[in-house]
Amino acid sequence: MTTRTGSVRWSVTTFATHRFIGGIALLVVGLVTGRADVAVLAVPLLVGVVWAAAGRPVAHPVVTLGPPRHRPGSGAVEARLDVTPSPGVDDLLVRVSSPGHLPVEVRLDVRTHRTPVLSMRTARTGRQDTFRVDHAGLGPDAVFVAVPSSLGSPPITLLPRADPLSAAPLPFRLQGVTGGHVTRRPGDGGDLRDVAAFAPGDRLRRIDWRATARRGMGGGPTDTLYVRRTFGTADAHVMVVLDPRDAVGPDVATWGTGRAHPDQATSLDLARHAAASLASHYLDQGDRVGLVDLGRNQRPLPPAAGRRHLQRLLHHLAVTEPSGPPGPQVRPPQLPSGVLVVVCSTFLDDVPADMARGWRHDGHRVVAVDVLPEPIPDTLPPHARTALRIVLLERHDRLADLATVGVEVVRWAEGGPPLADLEVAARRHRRPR
Amino acid sequence: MTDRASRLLVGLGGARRATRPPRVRIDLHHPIPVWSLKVALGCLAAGCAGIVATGWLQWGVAAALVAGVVARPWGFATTALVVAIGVRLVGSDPFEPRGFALLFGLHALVALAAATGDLPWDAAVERGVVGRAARRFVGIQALAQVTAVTAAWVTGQDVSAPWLPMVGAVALAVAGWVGVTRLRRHPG
Repeated sequence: MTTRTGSVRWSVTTFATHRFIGGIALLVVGLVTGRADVAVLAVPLLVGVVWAAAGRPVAHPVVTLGPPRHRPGSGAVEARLDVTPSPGVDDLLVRVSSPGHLPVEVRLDVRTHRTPVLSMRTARTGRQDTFRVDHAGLGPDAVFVAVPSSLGSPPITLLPRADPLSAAPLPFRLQGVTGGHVTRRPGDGGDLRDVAAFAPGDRLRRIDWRATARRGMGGGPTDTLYVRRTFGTADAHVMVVLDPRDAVGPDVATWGTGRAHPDQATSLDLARHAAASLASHYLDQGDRVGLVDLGRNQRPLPPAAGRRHLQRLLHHLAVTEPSGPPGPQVRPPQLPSGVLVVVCSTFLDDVPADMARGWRHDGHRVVAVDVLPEPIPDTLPPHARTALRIVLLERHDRLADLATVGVEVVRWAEGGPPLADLEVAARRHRRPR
Repeated sequence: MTDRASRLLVGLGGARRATRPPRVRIDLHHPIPVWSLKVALGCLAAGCAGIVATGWLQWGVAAALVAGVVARPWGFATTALVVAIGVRLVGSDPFEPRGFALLFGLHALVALAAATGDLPWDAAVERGVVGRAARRFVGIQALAQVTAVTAAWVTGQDVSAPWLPMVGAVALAVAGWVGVTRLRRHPG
């Protein structure tokens, strides 16, 4: 919370000075020419200034800017401005600005206690700068104005939204002896695998007496017991790889500025959304999810399970920021064996594609989530359109190459999760030959 | 993005954006858009100038000053227009009805300019600000009209319009009421 209190320096506005000088001039002209009707024109000018000057303000209103809050449903960020009135101050000139937004200027009536709400819409996630308020008090009839001052509200961290998914792909090899997914190994699951002769290690409660009796009556060996064997269960280990080096929005004209429109999700926002949705889906099923941030030279967040781990992942995703021009990667991060690798990237360069190809070569199942928003090239000059076309063609070839080596490509659009693509990918359980 | 085409796209700092950025919002009590106040200011200024302006030169100067008033209500043009009209009035007969109209119009122009300020076209002013300026205007205008009528009588001018004394009396009453209200609100 930021507050401005105390006395400030007040000065006479130039408009009041003009009015006073103009009034004196009219008075002089009227007296010199002997025209009372001209001199009377000075009355409103002079009386207005003198009347207002009699009530010169002393203290400035106490202006407080509350902490920003996020309304998840509407995507709005709000903060409350609190203005406590001060004698002699009628109005408050206020200019509210926020990075990426057009500012708004208003003149508030502050003779009573006021608490207007500032708001801005954003489709972005992560750390966001919020409001800056420049304000100056005005005395009666705009004769006195206070020295302007500024307030700022602290940045806010917006967590990515996790949408529910109906299906998601699983790794080629499930791990562990318990979990939410049925494996092809025998184990303690619920689905019947086969009926086999009792062997050391089988539990007595698994003996299928009916099958044993049937085999005995059918001429089989009567001293052999038969047990019902079931498929085992296991959990999936998933590594979400986030590529935060590009944060480009749909408007291609903003790609070079780094100032994408705040009401349009950038590729990084889509990547966060995709990663959060997939992580939430897997963690809800009891699987283990880890995170690799390609923008930082840090060790990956190891796979873990549980709701607290989901919160940890969401915070990691939110604080991930574009790290400037993409730097060379010495070697891809080392991943645990048998994991499903989900690479969320724009694939505008070769680095994530090479890594995905390498992980696929190592035997991991790799899903490439394409998070580049649909480019809007409307305002680009012709040469830039050609450049964009070349970049997109190269990217298309890159994704096609990935598909040929067995990397599944899924597109993630702004409207929501691509359920159809994910379901198709989820149905492909077998390792491609 | 390392190739030449990518560098070209990254270098598009000056390209025009496809859409306009969103605007920060602030909830106000009955906001009045500044553009409407500026339009009213322009009409008022043009009307006052039209009462006295004759000839291309005077219309040219008036148009420049009116544009200045609309562009920057707190600028020099507002007071310059008032003074210019006053000086132009010297050449006409004293205490014509249009003199009283100008007393009203020019004061309204200055009061509205004070309420509008140098805010941009897309800004807003709360209705309370304009309402308070209007109440102050009524009080001062009443005083000014009474002063004008008195000055006309004292200088022996023929103010034959029968409504003027009545307007003056009403204006005096309004001025008294505003003054008492103000004293009650700020007894110190």
